[in-house]
This record gives sequence, structure tokens and C-alpha cells, in this order.
Amino acid sequence: MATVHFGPTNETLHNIDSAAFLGALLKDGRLCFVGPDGTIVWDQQHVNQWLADIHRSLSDIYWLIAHHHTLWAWNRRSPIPVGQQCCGRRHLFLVNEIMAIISNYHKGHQITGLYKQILRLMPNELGYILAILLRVVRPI
Amino acid sequence: MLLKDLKIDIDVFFSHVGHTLQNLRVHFREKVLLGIPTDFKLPTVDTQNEKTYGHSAFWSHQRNSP
Repeated sequence: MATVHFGPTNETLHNIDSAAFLGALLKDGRLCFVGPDGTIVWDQQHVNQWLADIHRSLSDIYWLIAHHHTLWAWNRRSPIPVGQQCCGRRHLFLVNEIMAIISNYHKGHQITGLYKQILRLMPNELGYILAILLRVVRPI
Repeated sequence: MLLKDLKIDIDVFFSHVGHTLQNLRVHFREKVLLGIPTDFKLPTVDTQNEKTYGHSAFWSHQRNSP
């Protein structure tokens, strides 16, 4: 899962949330710090552990969403493309500040010629954690 | 296929879900955010770029907004 082009260093998209978190990480110093030449120096060992911790969080989020009766059918079909894609439509949306997944339902398509859209709302807390993961943490 | 004598204890199942959510809260705050507070708020509008990704399913009434 990658949120390509949405990083804190991409000035055109003004991801101030991720930029603020990166600034806090630099100040914290456990994962990274500013080197003498002004570049960011990462502690690879800690970064690897951090990435593993991110992955575990994502796994838990998926499991909890699936057991909240929102994704049980979709999980059988394909992975969830939660990251921003370079091409193609998104699948994550905000509906009245609630995170939601919209997918196409293809059964009956050959007869009707229509794709149905399925809206699945996420539990608020999970949606919020996933949003932080995608918007704040993962772009770094 | 029948699963003979299959029993699911809903209380136990919900308990597992609750524990996983609690563990996720703690793990995310301490291991992913490293205890760093964020004031991130979910946006109130869909920021989908409709020129590149097509019409948004929501907030279409705001297309003409600045």
C-alpha cells in the first residue's frame, strides 16, 4: 500500500498533516534526524520495525472492518485498493465525514449492462485510524 | 456441506473484536504514531480531483464552489 505522490515533500498537494508529522518525527529523533548537510537521515533498523508496526495496524484494521459486516463479501474477491492510485478511480470516499468504500458489483452485468455500486460505511474509529494511516503516516 | 455441531459464541466473538480494537488503539498510538499527537481531522469535503479521476460520487453540489 503506498500513497504515491501524496508525501509531505510534494508541495503541490500541501499535505500539511504529513509534513507536520514528519517534522515531529525529526524532532523526536528515534526514526530520523536532520544530518549535517541538511538531508534526512533514517535509522534503517528502526524504520524496518516501524514499517512492520504499520503493517500490523493495517492488518488489524482490515480484520476489524471485515468483522463489522462491511467487507466480508469483497474480501473474497480482491485486495482492497485503499491507497491513492496513479490511475483509475478511487475506492475510498468520505461520506458525511464517515469513511466509506465503494465498489462495483458485477453480477447481472451481462444481462443488464449495468454495474451496481456498493457503499460500505466503516465504523468511525476504524475509518479515522485508516485515514490517519493514509494521510499522515504512510506518505512518509 | 454441513458443519456438524458448529457453535459460535457471540459473546466470545465480540470480546475478541473488542480486544483487537483496544490493542489496535494502543499499538497505533505507541508504535505507529510513536506517541506523537496529531490534530488531523477528516475533511468535510471530498477532495477528489474530478479532472483526473472523474466525477466524485459525493459533493457534486459543490463542484462550482471555489
